[in-house]
Amino acid sequence: MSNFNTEIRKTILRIIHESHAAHTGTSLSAVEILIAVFKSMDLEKIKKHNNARDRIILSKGHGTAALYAVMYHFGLLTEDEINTYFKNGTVLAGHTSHHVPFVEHSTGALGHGLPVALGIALGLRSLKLGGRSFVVTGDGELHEGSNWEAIMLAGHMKMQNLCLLVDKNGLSQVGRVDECCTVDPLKEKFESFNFAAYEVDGHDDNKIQEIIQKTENSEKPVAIVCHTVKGKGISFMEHNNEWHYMGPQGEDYEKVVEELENASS
Amino acid sequence: MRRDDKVFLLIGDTGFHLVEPLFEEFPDRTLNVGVAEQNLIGISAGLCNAGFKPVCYAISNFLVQRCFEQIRNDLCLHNYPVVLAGTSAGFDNGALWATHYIVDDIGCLKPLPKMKIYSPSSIEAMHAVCRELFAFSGPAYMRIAKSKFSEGKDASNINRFVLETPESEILVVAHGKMVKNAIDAAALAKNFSVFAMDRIKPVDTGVLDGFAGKYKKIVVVEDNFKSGLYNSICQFLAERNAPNPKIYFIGPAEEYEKHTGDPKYLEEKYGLAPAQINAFIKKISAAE
Repeated sequence: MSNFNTEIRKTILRIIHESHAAHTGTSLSAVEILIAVFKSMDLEKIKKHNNARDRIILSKGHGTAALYAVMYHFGLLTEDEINTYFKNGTVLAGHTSHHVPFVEHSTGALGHGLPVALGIALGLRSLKLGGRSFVVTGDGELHEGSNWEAIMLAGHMKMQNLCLLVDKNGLSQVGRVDECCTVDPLKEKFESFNFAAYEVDGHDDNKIQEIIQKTENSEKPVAIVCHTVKGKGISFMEHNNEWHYMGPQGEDYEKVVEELENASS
Repeated sequence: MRRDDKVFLLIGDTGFHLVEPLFEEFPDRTLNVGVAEQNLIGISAGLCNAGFKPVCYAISNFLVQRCFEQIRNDLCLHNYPVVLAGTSAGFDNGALWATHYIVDDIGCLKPLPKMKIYSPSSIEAMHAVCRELFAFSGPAYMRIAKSKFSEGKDASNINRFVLETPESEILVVAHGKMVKNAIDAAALAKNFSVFAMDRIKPVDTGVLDGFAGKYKKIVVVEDNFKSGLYNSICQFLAERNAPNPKIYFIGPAEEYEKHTGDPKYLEEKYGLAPAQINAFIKKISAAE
């Protein structure tokens, strides 16, 4: 794990710790996916709100600590802003809000981001603008039928400027996704819906970025199934659903700090 | 769509023999998303993000109720300028039964911040409503009744008297198709006035305040449960903190009745036919 990625994890865990927030595991699984997307986008266009800009929607809005931390490290949020996360009077709530500068769409209820991202892709295509529409969903989130309405139509319309990244950490709130209702075989499912589908180590941001770049001129919508670990980067949080709702406090936070210091040294 | 190149028509597989010319003329600004209303609303929100002003056309039930959370989160939360054009209102689809007639849409949408609600009462009112709707100032729902009722004169304003009876102490307030029923009822006995509330939300408080000082009795006639216009007027009067007229409701009971029939059958069942409205008013006229 690079120092940059570790710094982002430090920020995520710090803001969750300081505000007594939650949704730790789901934030940690999405870090590299978000880094790859933000590295792939033209941030100057985003800062200028140019209509041809790339967009990203974090459909799994409960992982918003990761989005805000990544935005902070890419210069889209200030330290003063991110330090208000989950605190009274903030716009940086525990789910993604469009009131935060440069956030495209508010999410939190699952299954909303993908149809909206498809609408953005449609709008850009209608205007003959070149931006891409990125959306990050969870794997448990794919239980929501609205996703499949959008996937079916995107494939049918060959919506080539839509790029879906699935944070496949294998866990939803109660337990394992494949024990509740499996979404597998996911890549094949996307292919059958006329997507160009890929599987990748979801903690290798370079590889995710490579796929994003090589599919820039895709003739089909793109789906990247990112195999991730919920709680990635903190030994006692990995694969442990206790950290879906919990945030680190006391000794746990001391261990977090120690592990991340060791990772960056 | 000719005047504004940002208008985008989305349909949820509704509008056979109606929308085709628009699809032909504006291929880049029209789309049938199929039988997928959640996607319909989500896409409309995404189009707004890209600068468009979408109009979503579908049968009212599916447009409002199938995708309620999308309307709440993706449209109202963002104050996106989307027009929800719902076909069929009240008991228009009565014979198709409760999945297809709609008497609970106004109550569903009314609590949502930013949402405007229109129920045009005539062809002329539809034109006036559209002038306001297509300013695209935020999310709005238009409940389109199956009616060819013409007032025979231009309705330059929405929310207006369609029948003013001098010295009358009773006012009927109606919307949509029920305005015609109220006018027909008045033709039988000219002892009340009729006001068409083409815009239900935002509530026309100025107009209601004027009614409260002028009339002794207000009768709300609507093909919607009490959660609709009646509820809005009751709330306004309750919060007014001044002497109020008595208020009455003519409309459907809060039920999905197992026996159904055509619009006339259901209107008669719930006292909405002109003769029944007239009889109701005669009764309350006699009462203190």
